[in-house]
Amino acid sequence: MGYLLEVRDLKMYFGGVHAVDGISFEVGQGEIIGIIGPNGSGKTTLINAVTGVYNPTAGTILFDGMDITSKKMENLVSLGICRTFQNLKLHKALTVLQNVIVGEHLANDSNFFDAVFRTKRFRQNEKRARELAMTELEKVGLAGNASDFVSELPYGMQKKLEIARALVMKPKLLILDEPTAGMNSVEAKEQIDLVKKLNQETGLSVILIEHNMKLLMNSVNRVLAIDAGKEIARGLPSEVQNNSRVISAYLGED
Amino acid sequence: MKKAALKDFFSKKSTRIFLLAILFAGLTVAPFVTNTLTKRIISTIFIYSLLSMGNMVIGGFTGMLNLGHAAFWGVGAYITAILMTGYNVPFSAAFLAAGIGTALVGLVVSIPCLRLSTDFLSLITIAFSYIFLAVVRNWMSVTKGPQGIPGISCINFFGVDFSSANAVYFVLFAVAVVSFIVISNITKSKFGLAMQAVRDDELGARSAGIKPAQVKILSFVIGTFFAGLAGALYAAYIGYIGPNTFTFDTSTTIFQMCILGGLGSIPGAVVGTVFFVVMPETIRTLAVYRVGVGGVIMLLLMLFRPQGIMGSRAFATKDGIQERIKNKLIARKVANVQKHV
Ligand SMILES: Nc1ncnc2c1ncn2[C@@H]1O[C@H](COP(=O)(O)OP(=O)(O)O)[C@@H](O)[C@H]1O
Ligand SMILES: [Mg+2]
Repeated sequence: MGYLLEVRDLKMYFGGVHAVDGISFEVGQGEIIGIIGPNGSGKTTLINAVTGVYNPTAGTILFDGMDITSKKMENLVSLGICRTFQNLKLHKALTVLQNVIVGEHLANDSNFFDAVFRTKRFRQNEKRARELAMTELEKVGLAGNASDFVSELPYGMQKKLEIARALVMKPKLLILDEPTAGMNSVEAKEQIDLVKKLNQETGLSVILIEHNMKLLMNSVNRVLAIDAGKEIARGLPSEVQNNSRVISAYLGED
Repeated sequence: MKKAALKDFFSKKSTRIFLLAILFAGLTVAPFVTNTLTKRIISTIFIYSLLSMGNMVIGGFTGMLNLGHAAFWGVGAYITAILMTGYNVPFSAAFLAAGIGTALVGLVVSIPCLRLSTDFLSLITIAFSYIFLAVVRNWMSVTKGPQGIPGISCINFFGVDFSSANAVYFVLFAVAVVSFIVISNITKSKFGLAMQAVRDDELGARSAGIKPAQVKILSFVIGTFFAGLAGALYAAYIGYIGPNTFTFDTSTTIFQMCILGGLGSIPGAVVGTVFFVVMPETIRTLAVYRVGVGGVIMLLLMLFRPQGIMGSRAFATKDGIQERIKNKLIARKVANVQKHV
């Protein structure tokens, strides 16, 4: 049995900045992997290179055995890789519900003709999209805010909304970049618990990027710790937490 | 609260259908009870609505600052005039050719958006405006240069001439209504949602599998298609076209119609059109102040209803387009005041 995602010796350079410098890791079916590291260590860049926001400088990425190294983000969705962003990438002038329906873009098989003439297929698609979107909003606890505009939501709720938009795409692998950023400790715990619950109920594989190491400890299967674009430790959460290189990397930060 | 009750009343579907029915009935009897001038104003509104609705798709939905819409209108008008006067092509064929031909030009102009950012696209559309005018003014053998093309015969569908003012009125009315329905349906579909998604956050849209370049080209093709149709109708309605109609100034006015009506609202495009067509007619007596009055009204709008008349309130937020323009205007005003103290 192969891995769901395999990243081999990935490098992402911006001129002289070696933001990601030879990182390898893998995600098994149904696993939650945590990626930790101090600010600026290259976590977001790693994920951006994996999800085709950037074209990696070197290395290979396999998904379900298929080489996806230089595929763009928009072409990964249909394969089952969906993600959220550290700095929210929501559609501010749309409602909460519409933001999730954006995630149904590929599943909605209405064509232009259907749209212009409001065919039966169009109406069925619209109805289904709305229902599925509401289901995901319920999962993240935003069903009551469906008709609010994004710009009216507090930050924490916007973070949840991004997860709903990704979930409606029915991913096999969900990649979350600091889903708890800007949340207080209670909200953050709820958010991580939600991810854990999704993983347990549906077998969804997850990559969870988190700056705060402690939050991950009871929720993830394995942890990859990086600093300055390189791996500094990997293994069970408890092992990584006590690793001296991890401790000093985090100490150096504050 | 009174205001809330009023808002409820207007947001109810039954109310909207009722108001639309009244509007429809009013526009149907209008040509029989009004004078020639009023008829001409409403006919002009019908034609300009095609322009503003098309530009609303490009600018209001996909967020591309298209400053060349009048030139696309001109492309449609010239295709029609040249085909009809030079090659005896019947109007209905020229009408279709104008729509499709203009959409093709729109496609070509929008291709740079595969590589360039949206801001560059607006520069390209400005350049296109001026290139279009230069070509039309100088390509004497085809476009007859600055003096324009006269003698275009009237609108004709299925062998029926629509030459009387009332007949033209109803043809334009019908085309405007059908276009309104088609464009509304598109913008309310997944295509319209994808446009808005790209407008508000391109990376977010890409993360949902949306291809921004495709969406941008699609909206350009749709918007310019209707500009082409408007060009055909205009050419046959007036019977004469010349380069001075399709200027950069006209493109700016079309965009202002969209801003006033509210970006992201197709009914808004129509409301903005009504205002910008009717305003210069009604305050013609103040001819000297025409531009000024228009400017003041735009300024008041920016200050008191930044999202435009029909625009979504989400546009009125801190980082909305209108809010940014408003802040710029206020900053300029403050600077002016300080200069005078
Ligand atoms: N587009 C870019 N161009 C140049 N440098 C970048 C770019 N993106 C990230 N970096 C640099 O790469 C490093 C890692 O950043 P990032 O991946 O955001 O870290 P993290 O997510 O772990 O906080 C930083 O030094 C950052 O300045
Ligand atoms: Mg980061």
